[in-house]
Amino acid sequence: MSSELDRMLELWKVQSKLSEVRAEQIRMASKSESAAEVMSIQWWKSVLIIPHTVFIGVGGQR
Amino acid sequence: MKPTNDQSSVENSEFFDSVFREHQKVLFAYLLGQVGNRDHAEDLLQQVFVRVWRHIESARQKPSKALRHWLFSIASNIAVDFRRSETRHKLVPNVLLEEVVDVKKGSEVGLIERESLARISKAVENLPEDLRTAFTMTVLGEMNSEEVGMVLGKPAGTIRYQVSEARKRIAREVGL
Repeated sequence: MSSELDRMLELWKVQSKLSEVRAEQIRMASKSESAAEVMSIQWWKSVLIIPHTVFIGVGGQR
Repeated sequence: MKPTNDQSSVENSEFFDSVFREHQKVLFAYLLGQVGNRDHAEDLLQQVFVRVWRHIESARQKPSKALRHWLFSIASNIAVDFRRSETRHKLVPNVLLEEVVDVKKGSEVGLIERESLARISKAVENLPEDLRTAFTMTVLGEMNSEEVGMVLGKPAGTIRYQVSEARKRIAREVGL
């Protein structure tokens, strides 16, 4: 029983492993998703902060 | 001499790649144990490494033991968040089972073996979370009971018992 289970578990292990291709995709995507997130935060900052700065600037001149 | 931005980003990238190579297998095994579904475990693994990349500067300062602890705490938090959201949006059943059968189509593995493999996958999926995590980390992550125990904060003896219990339940479920 045990050797048959071990044999099946060995097959299961091979099947369940993360393939090298998939691992590589995840590695690359992790870096690019993070970069995209940073860019998106910077974009929001530019939208929200610049008009605010201009407003303060204009207000200050009055 | 202070490194330039270019130097620093190359070093960050190389460090990230080495962390990924060293830890992806055990983190994947851990996440599979936590969520019981291969597709979800892959997605969560990516979320873990997105966070690692986002905090790469501080990760570089950590000694290797602290780094490993930090990686598993990120993975644990992500798995907890996932399970919370999954209780709201119930898991699609048997994804792991269908995928295993699909992958084996057309290969030299016989029909009976394919069916046994699918039953094993289902049996693993059906294990209680603590047994499944100890089992996947030991078998898939190829860690010994001391290493798994250290990550999960349990004595090595408990891990050995859980793995043995998991094997018994799997054997019973697949009729071996």
